[in-house]
Amino acid sequence: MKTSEEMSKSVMEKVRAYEVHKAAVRKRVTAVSVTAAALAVCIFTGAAVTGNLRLGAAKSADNAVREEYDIEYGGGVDYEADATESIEHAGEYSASDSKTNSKDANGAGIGNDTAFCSHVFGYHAIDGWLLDYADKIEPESSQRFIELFGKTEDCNRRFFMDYYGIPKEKYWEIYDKNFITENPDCYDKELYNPDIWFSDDYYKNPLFVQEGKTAPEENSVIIRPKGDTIHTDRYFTICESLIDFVGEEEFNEFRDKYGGTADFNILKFIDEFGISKEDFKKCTETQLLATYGIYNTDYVYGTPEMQKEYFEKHIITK
Amino acid sequence: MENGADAYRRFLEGDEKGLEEIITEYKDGLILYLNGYVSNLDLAEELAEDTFVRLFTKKPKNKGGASFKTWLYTIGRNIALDALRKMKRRHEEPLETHYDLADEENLEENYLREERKIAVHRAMNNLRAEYREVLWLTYFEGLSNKETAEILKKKVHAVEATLSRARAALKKELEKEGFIYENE
Repeated sequence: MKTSEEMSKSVMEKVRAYEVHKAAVRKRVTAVSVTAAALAVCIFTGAAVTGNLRLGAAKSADNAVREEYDIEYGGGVDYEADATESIEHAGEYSASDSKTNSKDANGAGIGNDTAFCSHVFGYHAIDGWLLDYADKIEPESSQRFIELFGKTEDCNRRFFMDYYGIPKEKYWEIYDKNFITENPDCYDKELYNPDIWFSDDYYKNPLFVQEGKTAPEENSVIIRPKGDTIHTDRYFTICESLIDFVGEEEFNEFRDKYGGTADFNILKFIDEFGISKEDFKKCTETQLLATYGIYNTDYVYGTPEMQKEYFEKHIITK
Repeated sequence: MENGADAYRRFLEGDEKGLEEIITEYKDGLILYLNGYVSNLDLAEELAEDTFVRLFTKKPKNKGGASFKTWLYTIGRNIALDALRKMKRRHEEPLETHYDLADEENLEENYLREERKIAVHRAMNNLRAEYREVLWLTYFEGLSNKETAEILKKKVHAVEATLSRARAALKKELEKEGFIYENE
């Protein structure tokens, strides 16, 4: 065991090393921003879309960094205390993105693009093909997807396809296989392989897991009733922290009562246990859940129309 | 202003002595508290050090109105839970206890001092983790149920319910050891 003196010395050394690292990162930020801007211009030809996505990315990075502070410091933190911090985190992540995904140029990271995200940039890249597809179903549909899921782990290609009801068979109707094959410098063939995206554990694929970070563990209870093709998994997911909140025994009773039926869903769970929005937010803001980004409370506690919008998949209508 | 908060303020103003004071005052209690989660004193010590490093590198401000100790323990708890999750993902076993038991005994003697408290602390090792954490925070750290609820991110009534079950379990453990349990 270290004495207080020894620990103070060790902590102080780490603090000094951090300050040196921080100064180095600060220098790197400018270069990274320029790279990111150039990448965005390459990706999207539509200036309006680019602008919106860039804004989404910046916002989500900032929000996620804030969440990280909350998680680490148990809330009540002065986020504005060190405004450069969020820039630095975003910068660090972008730097590692460009390293791990140099080939995956076709996409804008509108997802969980922060230092603590478990997945690589390409995983969260919703590309022009998909956005275009969504907008053909309904004008501005892609923008709504970004608003709903932009800062969550759900912002990934598979979830996007599930959300819009795109089956594996339709995949190559959306993507131009020849174009991808003919441009290997721009498109990583593996990242566009539908077999990978449509596997059950796609999110654990080493291709998507960020260097030095492991894939997120599953820590939620999903009981989807047979035959339901309308709702997202999220609708039928009761997270570990919510179970902790109400108590395991109480949860078991709930599960025994409703498991396997349409009533085993998050809205019923909230109603049954009278969970306030504030408590729900606290429960779902733990580190892992923030990484997953399972719930957007504005919608969960929104009007019935908003809840429908959030929990129902958009089935192809055309 | 409590000592910890004052020392932290001084550290933020550039006084490195503040860092030393915080570590001296809170190190032992924090290690014992985190040991309740990870059941490995060496790991608990590392996590306590990580907690201090986070505090002194990120320099967050405690705006939630909680006491410095409550706030520090909240940070420590989150770090410990995070470490446990990482271990779980890597299928590592956090429960191996290869450390020197004398270290734990010294720590107990330094921090808890009274024999009665040491006996209670040892009996707590046989309890569920959630019981250990509420008992530690309320009994050894003297935190109120509200403060404990803040750290554990639970409602006060949930803490009260857990505490009541924890006391009952502790009573059984102590009786097994031949102690007479005194209710509050």
